[in-house]
Parts: sequence; structure tokens; C-alpha cells
Amino acid sequence: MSRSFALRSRRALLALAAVVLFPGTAAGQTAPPPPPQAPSPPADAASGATASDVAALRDEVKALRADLDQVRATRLASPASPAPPPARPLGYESFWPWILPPEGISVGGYLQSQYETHQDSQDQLSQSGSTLNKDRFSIRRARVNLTGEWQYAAVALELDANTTNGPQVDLRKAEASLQYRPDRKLPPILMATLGLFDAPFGYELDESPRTRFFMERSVASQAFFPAEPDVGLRLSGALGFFRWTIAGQNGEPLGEASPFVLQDPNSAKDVFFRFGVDTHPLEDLHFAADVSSLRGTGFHAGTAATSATIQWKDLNEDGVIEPYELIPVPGAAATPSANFTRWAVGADLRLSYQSRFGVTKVYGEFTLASNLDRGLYVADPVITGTDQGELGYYIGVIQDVTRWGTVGLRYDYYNPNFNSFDSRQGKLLPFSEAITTWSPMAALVLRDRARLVVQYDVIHNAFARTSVGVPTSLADNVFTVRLQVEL
Amino acid sequence: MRRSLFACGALAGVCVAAACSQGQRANVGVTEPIQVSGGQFISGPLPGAPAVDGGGELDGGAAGPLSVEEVTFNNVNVIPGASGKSFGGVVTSDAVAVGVRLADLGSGYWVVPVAGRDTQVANASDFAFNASFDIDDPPGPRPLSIVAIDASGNAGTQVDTELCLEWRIPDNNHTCVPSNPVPAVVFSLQWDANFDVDLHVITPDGTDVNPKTNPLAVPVDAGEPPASDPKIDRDSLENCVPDGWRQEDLVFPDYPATGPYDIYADPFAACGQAAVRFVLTIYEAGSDGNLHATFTQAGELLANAQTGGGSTGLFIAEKQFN
Repeated sequence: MSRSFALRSRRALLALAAVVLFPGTAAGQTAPPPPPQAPSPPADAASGATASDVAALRDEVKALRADLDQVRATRLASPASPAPPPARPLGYESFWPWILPPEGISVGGYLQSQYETHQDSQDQLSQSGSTLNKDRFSIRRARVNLTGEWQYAAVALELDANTTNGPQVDLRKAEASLQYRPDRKLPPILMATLGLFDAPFGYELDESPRTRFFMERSVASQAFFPAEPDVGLRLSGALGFFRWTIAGQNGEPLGEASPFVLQDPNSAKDVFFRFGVDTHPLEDLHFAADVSSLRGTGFHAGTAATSATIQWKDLNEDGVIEPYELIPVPGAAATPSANFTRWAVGADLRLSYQSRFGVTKVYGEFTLASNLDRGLYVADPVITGTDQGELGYYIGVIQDVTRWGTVGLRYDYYNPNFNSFDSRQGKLLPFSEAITTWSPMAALVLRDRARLVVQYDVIHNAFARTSVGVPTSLADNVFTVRLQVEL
Repeated sequence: MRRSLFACGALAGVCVAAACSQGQRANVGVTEPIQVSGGQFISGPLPGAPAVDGGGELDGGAAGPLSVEEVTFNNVNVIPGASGKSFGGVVTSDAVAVGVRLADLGSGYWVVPVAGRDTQVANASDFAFNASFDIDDPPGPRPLSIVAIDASGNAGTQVDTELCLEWRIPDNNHTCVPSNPVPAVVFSLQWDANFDVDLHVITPDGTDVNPKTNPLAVPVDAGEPPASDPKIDRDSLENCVPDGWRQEDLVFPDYPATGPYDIYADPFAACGQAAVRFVLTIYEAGSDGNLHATFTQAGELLANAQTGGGSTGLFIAEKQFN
């Protein structure tokens, strides 16, 4: 800044201050000339009126002071009412069913559009014809939601449109609820919900993708629940810091690789229990922890009856049919379907602390399961006779950097089968199929409006082999840039 | 804001460092001339000492350490685009894997772990794999090189197994058996999508030769037609069932009767495709005893032109034989 410009700025400030402090003077320069003043009253009359005015003002001040003292006394006598929990504890929103929607009907929504590039992307098609190229622009989520909140009833609807597997539109939430919520500043003491809602297992599954900074849920969570919602009944409530949820769902969540998505091929329901605490022990500290459990019934689909056929196997590989190469395949009877048991237990914890550097959030989750994988290494123990034991966990930290930015790091681990073996030299050797992911993330944030997030996932798996045939990692790191804008 | 930008820069640095992490690249072998199911593709030359003269013939005698003792397969000839051709064999027990490569073709080799101990050969392990071949692999004799690899990555001496890749143009297997005479003329129609296209040829006497009716193939005494009769080799994409060929050929073992031959491409059924691109090639036997392309014409057919057999389709060319 030059000296002359500084002087000009200083003069401009002085002029501005003069305008503010002496508005009459400033206005008088442009206002029309005032009308001629009336003659002044006699001096005695003026002094009498002033004395009576002062007396009246003194009386008024006394009365006001008395009123103020009374109010203070009343306040001290009555106990302090508890402050309502902030809708966004230290910057991070609550999740269903603990959010506090506005009274009446409200509408919201957000759009997440992104570019991603994968190391394992190929310009090829799979055997089923789907694209193997993953380097692309996409609409990850375009969601519109409508909530209705009344004294004893509530409703939530959410629609999602995306281009992840081509253009598609899904119903993500359709919750019809009855509730008892005497204090409108607190979550309901009791809420009964029937409809389509997120499975109440762990924190990550119920956290809104709008508030989550990391691009997607951890690998284990996506394997157990390919998408969050399923149809069922949920009972939940909040008493002070205590949170509880009991739910039953069909057990065929959205996104599952089966023909029974959001339906149910068996009469048994998946039952969820979730209990936890959510509190602010200090003004700057938010603490929440939950334990979850699930017990459900999976379905092994039977097969339909088949007709007799003839197969040709080119045994001598000459491309010509020989009589001995024709194989009769008799018709097969239908095989019955079967159910199997699956279960999971989990615990999650999160801490948010407001320091002079901003909010720091540390959180993690642990899940032990059996036959629950429905998205990655799909579990079906009916044929193998062996239950598929699964273990998943993650730990993440998110740190605000000024009000404009956020950085984070998450490590997640998923072992889809404790009992996996690899055959080498004819020997079955214990073998870990575990997938681990390091996910550093950074975001530029316009609070409540937009965020630009970049994330790089460093993934280690066991999908490939070394030059001597030993399992090793397939390079499939992922880089993603996402822009999110909220309504 | 400045701190946020600094954080983003730091993250970018982490990303660059992480991008250098090791791991096998995804299925780079998909464009290779041979694919081994369940195998891992490794770029670079096949390790180990080159095969000894004569291709490392396996005589069944005592083998040295880290060697391939036996290779078994069903047929020396490989049908164009063959899928799942079986190979097996025996390696010395110090091997943990075998490397496989079609000699002189492709950019790398495949690694397959060995199986259990062989029950008949002492101190030996079995190996087995299924290989698929690209339909456009260069035809002709081609050795398949196999080498034993131990746990430290050391490789023994390669063994070459002679294969012969047949030509996708029906040449009476002249490519692999040169003593077989080539046909006099071949009309070959190839296309690029799973679209039921039929080759139609109107002969000088007005006969419509096509794969749906194929009137030239007249059985005699309830047996096969005479070998000298012209014939269409297949009805590709019949009933819209993909067969991987997308090719039909009219083969004249002997020189055709004189006169004009009108050639058509009939879009019989679109099979859900919007369009298909085709190439007609006419091959004729040369004085050197091989087939040579003497005419080529490309074109495109649209789904809305499909005929269902109601006409001969799009006229491509007229070939005159004298």
C-alpha cells in the first residue's frame, strides 16, 4: 500500500466518522433551510417545568430499579433449566432418529458430484458386460428430503438419484413415526417408526453422507450393508444422555446383490439392538458411544427343476463333434431353499473437542460378525458347511483448519473370512484376505453451503499374486475429488 | 484460508507418495495373445534359461533341479479363439509355480502355482492350467514356453511345447498342415457386434446361398455332402446366441462355376444392437499354394434395416469368375 493511498484512506475514515457522529451537521449541508423558529417562552416558566420533569424521571428510575431487583430475585430463586443439546454437537450433526427437525414441514437436499480415478481401472468390459473403467465423472448422490414434525407424529422422505451404475433413482427413506416428545428441544422419549430406514447398527451406517467428510463408509460397513436402508419397524428413545434403539428389518437391504432387495424371502427378521450414550461432559467436549448387535437369518436360494440336455465337450480340441464327446445331462429335480443364521456385534465411540484450533473429532468402530457379508465376499454357509467369520474396524480423525478447511485421516480393516486358505504345492496354508485402507482427506468448506473434498485411498488387498505365485496386493488405489452443495 | 490450502498441499504430497505403493497391476494380460485363467500376469520376458535346441524335448528321463518334467495337452492344433484349452504336467518338487508364455508373442508371462505332489513320479509336483487364445493371434506353428519357478523366484530351464494356431479363415488347416491344399475361393464376412448378420451369395444360376438355407450342401445317401461341394461354415449369432466368431464363410474347395456372384450382407436380427460394421474379404488360392485376399469391402448396417430373412439384405459386391 502506498503512502498517499494510506493518507487518502485515513482522510476518508475521518470523513466517514464525522458523518456518523454528526449526522445532523452532515445532513444540514444538503437539507432545505429550516423554517423560522417560534419565540422562546419566559425564563421562570422554563425552570419550573424542568424541576417537575426531573422529579418524574427520578420516580420512574426508582420504579424500574425495583422491577429489575424483583426479576433478579426470581431468577436466583428458580433452578436453572437445562440447556437444550445443540443440534450440531461441536459442528457434527446428529443422525436419525436423534435429529431435531424443524416443526412442521421442511425440505432439504444436497448434491455430490465427483471425479474419481482407480488404479485397477481398465478400458474393458466384464464377462457380464459391465464396464471395468472406473476413471470417470459421476453424480454420486443427488438427494432431496422432506420431513414433517408434529406433536405426536413425524414423517421423513428422501429420494436419491445417482449415476453410479447408470442413471437411477431410489427411495432412501420413508419413515412414518408416532412419538412422545414432551420437550420440543430434546429428541423423543419414545418413537415408533414403520417404514424404510437406515439399519441401526454402529455409527457409520447412520451418519448422513452429507455430513461425513470421507467419501464412503469403510470397506467392512459396505460389505455388511451394501446400502444403508431396509424396511422394518424401529422403536427408539432418548432419556437424558441415554440412547436406545430396538428394530426389526427384512434383512435384504438396498444394494444387496440378490433378487430380493427390500423384499424378504424368509419369514424371519433381522433384529437389532443398539444402546449408548450421547453427552457433553464439558462445554467443549462431546462424547458418544454405543454398542450394537444384530441377529438375523440369511437365505440360500434353491434351484428350479431343469430339462434333460446334451452337452458337447471338445475333448480332443479339434472343433469337430465326436460321438464320445456328447455328454447327456439328465433333467434335475428342484432343490429346496434353505436359511442360515447370521449375527454381528459391534461398538463405536466418538469424541469431539473444541479447541482454539477448531473442532477435533476422533472416532472409531469395531464389528465382529458371522455370515453377514452381503456386498463383497458374499456369505452363504449352506453349501460349504462352514460359517464365514468376519472382522472389521476403523479409526478416524478429523481436524478443522480455520473455518475454511478440514483435514482427516481414516484407517480401516476388513477380514472377510477367518477361515480362508490358499493352496500352494498341494498344501492348504492359512491365508488372510484382509483389506486395509488408509484414507487421507482434505476439504475446503463453506459452512452449511458447500465443500470441496479430495481423498486418496491407499488400499492393500490379496487379489493378486507375486511372480512366485504367492498372494499379494492388487494395485487399486483410488483418488477422488468431490464437490458437495447443499440446499 | 491459507492454512486450508497448506493442508490440501500436504495431502497432495501424501497422495503422490502413496501412489508409489507397490502392488500388481490389474489384469494387464487381458490384451495378451494368451490368457491363463487363475494365473497372474507379469510383464517382461519369461525368466529362466532359454529352451535347449529342439524345444527342450521331454524324454521322461531323470530331470535336473527346478525343471519341467512333463507337459500334457489334448491337441497340438489350437482353434482360433479357443477358450479353456487344458494343459497339465509335472515339475520337480522344488518348484512352487510355473511361468507360461506363448513364445515371441505378447509383453509378459503368466504365473500359476503348482498343485500337490505327483502320485506316480517321485519328488515331483503336478501343475495344471486352462489357457484361452486371442482369435486374432497370428496363425501358424508357435511354441508354448513353460518354466519352473522356486520360492526364491529362481527359474530353471524353459521347455518349449509346439502348438499350431489355426487361421480363422477356413483354409483346410493348410496353416498347420501345409500338405493340405487350400480351397480355391473363400468369401468371408466378419462383423464387430453381436448382431445376426447373414452372408448371402446369389450364384450365376440364381440360387441364394446363405447360412439359414445353405442349398449348396446337398447330402448324398443320407451322408455328408461331397467334400468338393461349396459350403457355408456356420450360422454365426443364430437365434442371437453369441458364439464369439461374428464371421461366416462361403468356401469353394474347387474353382467356382463361371459367371457373376452377387454378395449381400443381410441384417437378419439386430439382437439389441443399434448398428454393426462389417468387412467382406474374398480370398483366392495363389500360385504359391496359399490363400490371398483379392477383394475387401467394408460397410455398416443399422438395426432398423433388419430383415428377418425377408430379403437378401444390403448388396456389397459382384464377383465375376471366368
